[in-house]
Amino acid sequence: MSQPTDRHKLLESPGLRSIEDLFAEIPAELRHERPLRLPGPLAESDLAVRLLELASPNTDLDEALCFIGGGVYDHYVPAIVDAIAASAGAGPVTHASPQPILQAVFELQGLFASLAALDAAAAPFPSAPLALAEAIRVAARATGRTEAVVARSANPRYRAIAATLLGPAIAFREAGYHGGATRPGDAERLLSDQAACLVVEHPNYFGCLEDVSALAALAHSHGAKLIVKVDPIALGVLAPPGQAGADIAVADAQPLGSRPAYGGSLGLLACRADLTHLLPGWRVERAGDGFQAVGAAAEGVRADAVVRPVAYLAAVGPGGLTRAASLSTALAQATQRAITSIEGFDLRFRAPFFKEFAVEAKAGPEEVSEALLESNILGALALQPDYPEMDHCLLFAATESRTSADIELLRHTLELMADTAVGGDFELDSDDG
Amino acid sequence: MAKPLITERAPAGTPVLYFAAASAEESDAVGQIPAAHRRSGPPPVPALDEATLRAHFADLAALAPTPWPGDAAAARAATLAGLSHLHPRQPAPTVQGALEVIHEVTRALAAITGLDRFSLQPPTLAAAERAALLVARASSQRLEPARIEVAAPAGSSVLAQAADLGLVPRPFARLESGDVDLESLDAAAGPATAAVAASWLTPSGAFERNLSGAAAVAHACGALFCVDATGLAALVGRTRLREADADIAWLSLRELCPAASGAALGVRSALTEKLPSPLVGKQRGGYELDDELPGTIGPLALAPADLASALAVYVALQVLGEEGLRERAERIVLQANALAREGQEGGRQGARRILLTTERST
Repeated sequence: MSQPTDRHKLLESPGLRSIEDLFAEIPAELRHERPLRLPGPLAESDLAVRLLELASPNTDLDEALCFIGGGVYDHYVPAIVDAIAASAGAGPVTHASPQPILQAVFELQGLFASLAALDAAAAPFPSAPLALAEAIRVAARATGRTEAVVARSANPRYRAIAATLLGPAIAFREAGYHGGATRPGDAERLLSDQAACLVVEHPNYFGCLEDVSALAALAHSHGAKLIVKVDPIALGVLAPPGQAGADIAVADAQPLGSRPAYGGSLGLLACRADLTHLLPGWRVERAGDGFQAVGAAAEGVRADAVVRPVAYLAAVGPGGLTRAASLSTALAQATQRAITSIEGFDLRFRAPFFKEFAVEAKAGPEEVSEALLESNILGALALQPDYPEMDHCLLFAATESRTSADIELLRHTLELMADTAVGGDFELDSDDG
Repeated sequence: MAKPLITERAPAGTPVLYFAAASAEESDAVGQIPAAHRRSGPPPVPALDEATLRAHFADLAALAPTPWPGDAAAARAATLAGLSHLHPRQPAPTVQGALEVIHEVTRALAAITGLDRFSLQPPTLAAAERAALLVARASSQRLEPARIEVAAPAGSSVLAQAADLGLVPRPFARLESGDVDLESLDAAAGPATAAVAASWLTPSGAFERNLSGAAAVAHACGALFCVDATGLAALVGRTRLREADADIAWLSLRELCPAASGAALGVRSALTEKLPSPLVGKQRGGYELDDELPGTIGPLALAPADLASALAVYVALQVLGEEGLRERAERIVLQANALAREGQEGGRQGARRILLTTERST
């Protein structure tokens, strides 16, 4: 590792006799030079075996059929996107990144602002929930207020992470839902003169569509901003949030050219022109013939993650994005029909949905999940842990990566499970919260 | 001359069909979405053929990535579907290997630092610093009298984060050497102090010589001692946070592997239940997601770690081993001092002390 020339050059310095002198500044009472008992080093051939051993017990999305959503989706990734991302490498994106990387950041900013029909965008954040937290902070700064009214129908994990990150600086108020979408009356009751924003997700955590225009009007009538978390694939079919009156849009870029990767999220944030001066984090601007980064130091974003959504959008184009969206919604509807054709499974909400939907089942969530796993299907997120009123409710998602045969296998598996189930005394109902 | 923007390019070749052709069923499905919710025109994105797309991004291939021991092995590991194509909401029994990677990285961090438990959830170093303050705040919330103050070096980002979290920032001075001014810290800390924050490195990148003194002041007034562990890469095998009596520490995962993003937050065992939930634990039956931490500050990420980063760190640790980490530390210090000496020779004021890194800390 250490090269003799390095040692030689350093040891030319006055007062230095050995490599140990480098660490002489560490006071004696702070030294710990005993073995740390770390594993390794491992020969690369042994490491390759070890990595295969670590990969093998995992049920990956190439071998299993994924009907899980919850904010992370198994959309198709064109091979060209993987090839271009590989050439970008996994190096960190910083203000000092080479011009091609800064240009990719600039292009991603522009593409997301344009897709969301908003005016400007920040550079991507290392996670989408972080982008949501920053959006709430922007609204608080813009209004001088300290409360966020957040729809309960929005992804509970995003809500929890934003609440953790913002801490006591922002008080969260939860607006209930009815029929799968935010109840405007609930939101209005909570929109006090301290409310900086109303936060909704569209399509929401249950997959249902929110009335963004009405909620925007409601928020604005109380002097608050409307923040909408969107699914970027859905924007192939759905009206953009900016057009519906949203002030800020946030999204996870993951569906645009990245497979689910256990973590690995890229937060996008765009806003109206009147909020541009409050854009958080950093961004890339044009500077003469090139690009320059301005704002806070960039951290936590990898070059390949930035390049993927840009390459994906340009590869599939407007037609492809619309196709991915419309195929997803068609397959989700087909999945819903297949599941609810089975006795003991009912659609939980009647509101229109995009690619995800909630089902109420007589069987318990664990029973359903285990039965699906036996058929190599990942599906059925339980809603009850986040929504106590939704006992026996499950969330399914479908994308253009699923096929009619996949849906038939899912239906067959659930039907078999329903036929052999002992049968509890759980009664299907439809309480909202 | 900059290349054209991707939106300024025109397709020049044959487009590839990525998705199946439209069907009647699909049109019906989109028709189920009320018209008011649908967009009126095509989404405003470019449409390029693959040759044009490759040409647009061709300059990326010329960028030399930062090499690190194990980068090729890590790149190969990242192509294994079992270590990459996983959904963060999969049941724990279906991602045992992924949880083992995360668990092993946290265990290695514990061994290297002497702290007891680590979370890999913070997406950035700034988020980890903020989470450290939230842990301190949570652990002092029920104390009487209330501890609402945070003492940190003047100019430290900790002070701004503390104010944002409703805590009272108490700045203290540094000596001319860059080390903590213990008298100033002593004056800033008191019975209302929840946390005293310091860094392993001085602003010039030298080792903070008054770390023990700062810990003593913190603990004498009943506060937690929090350390920004930037510089770990240069200190592996030489000192640990435990010897510095740190209660909470945070560091970038890049300290262990340049390809990793995200940060780590570590604590002494008494503070484990305050860490972001869930933690990855190992039980007799395998690895589990422990999300029943009674005092947790809450989650910081959608998964217990960004698996790609954890995997890169895992590979780096396995390839280097303990001796390799020590040698890497020496190399970092050698390079930092060589750079500093070049600065002196060029007429600029260079550091007189041995530098551990050229990265700056506040």
